[in-house]
Amino acid sequence: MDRLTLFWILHLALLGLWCMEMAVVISWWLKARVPGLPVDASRWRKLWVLLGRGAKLLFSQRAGLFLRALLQDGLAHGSLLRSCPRRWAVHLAIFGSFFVLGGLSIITGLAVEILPRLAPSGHWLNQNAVSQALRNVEHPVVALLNDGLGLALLVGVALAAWRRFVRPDAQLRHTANDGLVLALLALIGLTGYPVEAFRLLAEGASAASWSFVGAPLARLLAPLDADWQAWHSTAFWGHFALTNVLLFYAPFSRFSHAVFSPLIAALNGMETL
Amino acid sequence: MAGSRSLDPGHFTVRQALELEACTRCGECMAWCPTYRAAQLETITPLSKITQFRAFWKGHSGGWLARLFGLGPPTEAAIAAFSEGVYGCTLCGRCAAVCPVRLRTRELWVGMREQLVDWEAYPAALGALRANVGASRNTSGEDNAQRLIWSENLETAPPLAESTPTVDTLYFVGCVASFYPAVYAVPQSFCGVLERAGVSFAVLGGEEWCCGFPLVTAGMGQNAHCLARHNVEAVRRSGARRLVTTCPSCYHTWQRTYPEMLGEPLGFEVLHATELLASLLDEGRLPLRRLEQVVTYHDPCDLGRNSGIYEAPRVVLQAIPGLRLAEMAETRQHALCCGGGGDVEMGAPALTEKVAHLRLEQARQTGAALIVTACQQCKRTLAAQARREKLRLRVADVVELVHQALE
Repeated sequence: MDRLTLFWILHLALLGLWCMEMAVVISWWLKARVPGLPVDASRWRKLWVLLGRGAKLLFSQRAGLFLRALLQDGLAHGSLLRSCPRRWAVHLAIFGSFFVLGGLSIITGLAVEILPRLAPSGHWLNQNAVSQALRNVEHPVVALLNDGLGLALLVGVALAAWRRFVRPDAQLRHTANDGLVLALLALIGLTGYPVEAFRLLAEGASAASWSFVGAPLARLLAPLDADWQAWHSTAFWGHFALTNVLLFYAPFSRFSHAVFSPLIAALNGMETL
Repeated sequence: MAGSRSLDPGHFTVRQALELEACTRCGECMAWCPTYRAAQLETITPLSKITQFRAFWKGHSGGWLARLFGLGPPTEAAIAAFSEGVYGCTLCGRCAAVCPVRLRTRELWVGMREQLVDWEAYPAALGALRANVGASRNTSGEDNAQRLIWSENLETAPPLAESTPTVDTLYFVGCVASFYPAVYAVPQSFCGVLERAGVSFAVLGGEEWCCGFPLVTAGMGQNAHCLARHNVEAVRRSGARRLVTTCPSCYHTWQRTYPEMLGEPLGFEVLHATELLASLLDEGRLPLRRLEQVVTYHDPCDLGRNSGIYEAPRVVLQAIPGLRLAEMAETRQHALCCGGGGDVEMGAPALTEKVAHLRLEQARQTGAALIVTACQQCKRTLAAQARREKLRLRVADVVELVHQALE
């Protein structure tokens, strides 16, 4: 079985497990009451009512308000920008990079694995510039985005660690949990570069000048006599494992706010617009 | 603590449960929390309360998965520390005003208090409060028939709703103004202003029961239902088209809590005294003479942040000729609490004094000799602290100032 096939099997299995974990966690929150329903309503009923209300919101005239609040308060974090631009920039570097990289991975997976199975190779779904760029790991924009966002993530994590461990703000309260999340983020960012460098060495790729960290690292390592395919495989699985550890740990760490904060900021914020 | 350690998620809505999860633990709230600023007690901080309660919730719900992550049922020591923090909060809501993800923290704190009441982990003074309100229908434990004691030295006693055939405006006086001599001047002045403006008004007298606000904020909201029902029915019987309060907590309860608690619209308008005064001034029904003085305005938390009324009291003050308003450094949605809210004064009076001291310092920095507020509890708290510190600062309610300025 080749590496990519094994990756997809594991990836989908772990995603399924993660969805189960999230379902368990969400079921805890569904023990709370839903206005308009009896206190002893079942969690299934609460879930359906909430999903129905969510859908109703998205197809109502208030959808614009919700989206505006989501953008202003949930994603752009306007109030954080106003109160402390430095913290806003660090936050954006970490979460913005992480989510764009995550999004890039998801749509790359779609373009490489799903779309070719859904439509013939000549179909516009497979022939458009974005799909082609995503399928081409040597594409300058993809290489630039991966290396650039990875670097932004690492810089953000380094600044957050500085603020947390070296010169902590008076208002910060540190727990081991926070250190673990930062360490995981840093390791995920750091292991991304060896994966790219080992891939370049293993495949002998030459058109990766836009990979401005991975390519120089590959050139640095090139004189060494090593089985780059094996190194690439090890680094790849290490990177994959770390990402999954973070994913599974997220609901029990402060990282969970990455999902819930934008939602709550949008829901509560739309009522003030 | 004799209560069960089981957690009742029904004290929270699903949205509130997700708010616990949405807290980023950025600590922004800590820089603004008045009781933390005063006491430096870690368990008081919004951050600590959310973190602890989230752990309680997951420990309660999570079974083996939660235990895997080190979470379990709360210990008595953890509950005691949590209670100290949750009841050390004045419910001023400033944490909500500065929260980057807009958590509605005040409602969370009330839900946590409800849970602590289930656990029987609340200050003893709140048990006494519940007993007082249950037996006497007011917070002070006095005979409720004495509700109009504040009006005894007025030339004209305020008309009683039950003996007035047509009432336009019903004045809900509130427990603090009714039973604490230090603030009798507030209802006395307000009645004088209403008479002067020619407003047809009445009071409920002994038929006025505590609005239930102190019980709701103590986490004993279930004991406030009968109070809400009685009060609403009494106002409906009077036929008044509007209800006005001088107390922001009563106002908040009538305006926000009662319709939700009773699940029905009240059927009459609810106004705070400053809103009514602003409207009477606008109609030219209150001719005012000059009052040459510099004053500073203290935003009551339940009127400002928690009910959204910032302008009306300022409009009234600015309508008094000669009066100059000097704002404090922290004002409107960022106004510092007086320390007298959230039932803190009953359980931890020293904490109230520390917060009041901080607010008085801000007032002093404006150079004003008079702090004007629109809340009897704020007036009591700030005036008492000013006396303790022997400061040359007086405290008055907006309605007193308007009464004083009447031509």
